[in-house]
Amino acid sequence: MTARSFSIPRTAVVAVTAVVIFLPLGLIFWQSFLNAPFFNPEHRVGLAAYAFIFEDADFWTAFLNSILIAAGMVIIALPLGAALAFLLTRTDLPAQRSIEVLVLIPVFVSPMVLAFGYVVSMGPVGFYSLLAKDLVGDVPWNVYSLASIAVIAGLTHVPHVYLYSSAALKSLGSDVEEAARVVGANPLQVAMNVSLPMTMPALFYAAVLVFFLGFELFGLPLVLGDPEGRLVLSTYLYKLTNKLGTPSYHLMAAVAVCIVAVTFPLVLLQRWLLKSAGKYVSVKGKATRQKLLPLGGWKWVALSIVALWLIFTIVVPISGIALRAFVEQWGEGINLADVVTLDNFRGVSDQSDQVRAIINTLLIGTIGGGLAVACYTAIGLAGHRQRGGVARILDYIVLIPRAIPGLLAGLAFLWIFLFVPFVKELRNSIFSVWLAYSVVWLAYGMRLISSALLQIGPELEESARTVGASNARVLKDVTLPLIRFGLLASWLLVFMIFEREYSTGVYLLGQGTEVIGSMLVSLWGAGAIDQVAALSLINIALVAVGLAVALRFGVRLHE
Amino acid sequence: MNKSANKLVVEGLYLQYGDNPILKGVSLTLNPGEVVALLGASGSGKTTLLRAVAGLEQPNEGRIAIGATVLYDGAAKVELPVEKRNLGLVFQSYALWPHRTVFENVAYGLRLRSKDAGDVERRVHEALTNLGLSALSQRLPHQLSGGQQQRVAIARALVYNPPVVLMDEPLSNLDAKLREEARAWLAMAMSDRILLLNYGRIEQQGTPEEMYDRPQTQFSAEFMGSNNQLPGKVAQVVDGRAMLEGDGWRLWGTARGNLKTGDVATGVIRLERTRIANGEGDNRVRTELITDMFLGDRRENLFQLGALRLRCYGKTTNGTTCWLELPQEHLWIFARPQELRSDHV
Ligand SMILES: Nc1ncnc2c1ncn2[C@@H]1O[C@H](COP(=O)(O)OP(=O)(O)O)[C@@H](O)[C@H]1O
Ligand SMILES: [Mg+2]
Repeated sequence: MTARSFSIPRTAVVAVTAVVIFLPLGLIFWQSFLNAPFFNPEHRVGLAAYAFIFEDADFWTAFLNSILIAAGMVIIALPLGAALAFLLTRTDLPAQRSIEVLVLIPVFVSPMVLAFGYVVSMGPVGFYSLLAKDLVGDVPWNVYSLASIAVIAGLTHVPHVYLYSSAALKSLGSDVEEAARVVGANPLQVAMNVSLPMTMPALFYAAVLVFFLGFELFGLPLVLGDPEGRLVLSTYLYKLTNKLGTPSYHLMAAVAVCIVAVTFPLVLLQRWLLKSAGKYVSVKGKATRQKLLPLGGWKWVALSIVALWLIFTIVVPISGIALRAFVEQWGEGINLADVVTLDNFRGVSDQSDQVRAIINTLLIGTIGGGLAVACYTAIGLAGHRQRGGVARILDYIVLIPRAIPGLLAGLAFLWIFLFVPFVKELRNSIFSVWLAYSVVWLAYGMRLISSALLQIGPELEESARTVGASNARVLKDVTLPLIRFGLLASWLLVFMIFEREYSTGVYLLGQGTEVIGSMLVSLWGAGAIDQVAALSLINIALVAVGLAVALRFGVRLHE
Repeated sequence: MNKSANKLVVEGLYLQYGDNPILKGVSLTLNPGEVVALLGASGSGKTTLLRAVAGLEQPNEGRIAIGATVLYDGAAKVELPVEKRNLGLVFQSYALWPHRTVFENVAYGLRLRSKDAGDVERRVHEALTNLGLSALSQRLPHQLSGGQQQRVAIARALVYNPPVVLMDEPLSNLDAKLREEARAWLAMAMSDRILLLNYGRIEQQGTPEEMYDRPQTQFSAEFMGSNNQLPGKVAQVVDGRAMLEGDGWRLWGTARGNLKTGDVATGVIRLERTRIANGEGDNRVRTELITDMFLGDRRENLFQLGALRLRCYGKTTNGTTCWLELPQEHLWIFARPQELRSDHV
């Protein structure tokens, strides 16, 4: 083991990984302790940046809003996700497999697109709002309120809770529940004393995850919070530039550090929870027969709740976008038939930057996704079957990017591409965006790779060693062929994630680095609704293609 | 350990999954204080039967009662919920609750019966001590070895003194390599009575001696010991005895079941009843020694008789040609080979 734990390729992989993670992060930290942008020759070390934001009332409002939204999301997503998991794993609800696929869709739709979808369908003059006004004389909701943002964010994060609680419920053999019945517990006592406590770690994990995702929310509050001037931390950071007019990088860095100060402990907590949850699963009965709870007449109630949720989180926003993409304008008293047009798409194709955005998005998903998976695989293999320090260090450093919201990572990479010699030249190439994307999604990608690697029993590799294969040969002849399908599946998932990503590209957006995601943010800021609608629909189509291919090849949509 | 003088009576239990019948009319009686072993090949329905008694599977017909308490009655539509049956069941997977300590696993059944805290403590400690687990009471199940987990599961089932304790594969953890055959030996040593289950039916039941010395079917005979098998044809039947004829040999044996001349039949004899003889004689066959194996206290020999292989213990004298004696009273002759027996007889 010791002889294997040190090798030049492995050390190189670890070193490069460490550099691309710590350099941008270090830059943010350093910048936050300066009183001016670091390229400004007059900068001095100090706490001026922190002093400024802590005295800004907007900062505290944004902070509070972030917490309120994140907490609201937990309150909404947790019971719904857990109920959904119960219905789909433990009852005889019909069409479970199709419902499961539908449930996961919101994970792959860009929040920016979703948010825009809610504006055009449920905003003050949205399609469904006007429909409601015709029916009841008034629009009975306001999508721009803080509560609406929390509800929408909560409902679109139900899949995250669903994933973890359904995994826990699936691994909970019915024998432990039956054992409780036999010693004298009635069904309610079984649920309270056995099933619930055993799924608790997974639920708690999901709660922390959703809170964490809520805290780094960007697209939804950017689009929905804007009209009434509601800020959360990430949008506060984004608007800082406008606030002072000059590049106030030191202030942005200070806000970034504040965000990371909250998210990093949450990431560590998640890791710890995941480990302690695994402990319960390890004592699994072997001969367990999962018995499904018959729902009887209740299945219609359950199906309608699931259908309502699907309508609200998928059908409403996406149908809104689909409609909006094909009309010139929309508002009260407009007849749909009069405004139907293809001009929005013509508008997109006339703009070279938007055409480039589409091409770049495709490239970054296909080629970039493949390259990213290759890098993740290299990192995964560097830690594969290693018990020493290297593996442990890797284990932790790949977690770090998880704590850095995409917006901040994009900002940090912007600074690197602006000022670090040799890489400066790549500033205007899509490589810069690819690198930022790959680092931001490192933890996700690593989970995909390691679950593929986990499928290989150690004895398969060990037997290859014993018949005389070197480490490199084992890798080439045994390990890689065995994880081939897993790698292809990861590529598809990373493709969808890269098509969907938007916040990481925001600060890197420039001539040559356009991607649909960041383009949407910028066009939205400029009020170019027509093109936002057209690009959103194109973005949805790209993700849908990836999803269709994934389903066709039976790729599991979660790691 | 059973204080109540109540019998567990199962009558005509019938159970199917979908269209697939698993239990086809099982009847059995368990007397107070009796240790009964349920034997049967894997898939024969042992687990299903235990689960049906515990109430975890719904039978289609039949009746289950303990003394005056009816647990299940298909005709009267009585079905007592699992938790009301007050039985002990040790799962094959043990099914320990991973989030509860050993102590809390065992205490749970008592707490549900709302014993006072001191009483619970005392009885759990007693149960744990009896099973040699007292030092482990604060551990979580995943911190125990397989054997320790099993003992916790047993303590959990015993602690509230159920009238009947059901254990699914209690010997499976003794040694993963212990063959099913060896488990049958153990069951014979431990049980007062044995029930042999064969694809959803009780093939035979009785004391271990009865099962071993007087098997009623070829299945019972073969399940319970190490045997020599001699497939052949019935040449003659004379009041209770039959002559079996094979390729170059003829042997008299005890007829089991209805035999007629010309029937295809199988002779079965326990290994230890097969003797090495010192020459030609009644009910003897001439064989060639193929190989022998030293087993420590004795020697097992493998002989060839035409296409057949016969095994027996003992010391061979000289040369490779040996006469084997298969005493008539120990050679059972069963009609029709096992696999031709219809399931619907
Ligand atoms: N959930 C089930 N659905 C259908 N058939 C089952 C199910 N569980 C067990 N069986 C079948 O029931 C038969 C008896 O199983 P079991 O009682 O577990 O046997 P044993 O415990 O004797 O090995 C087997 O043939 C098995 O295939
Ligand atoms: Mg079984």
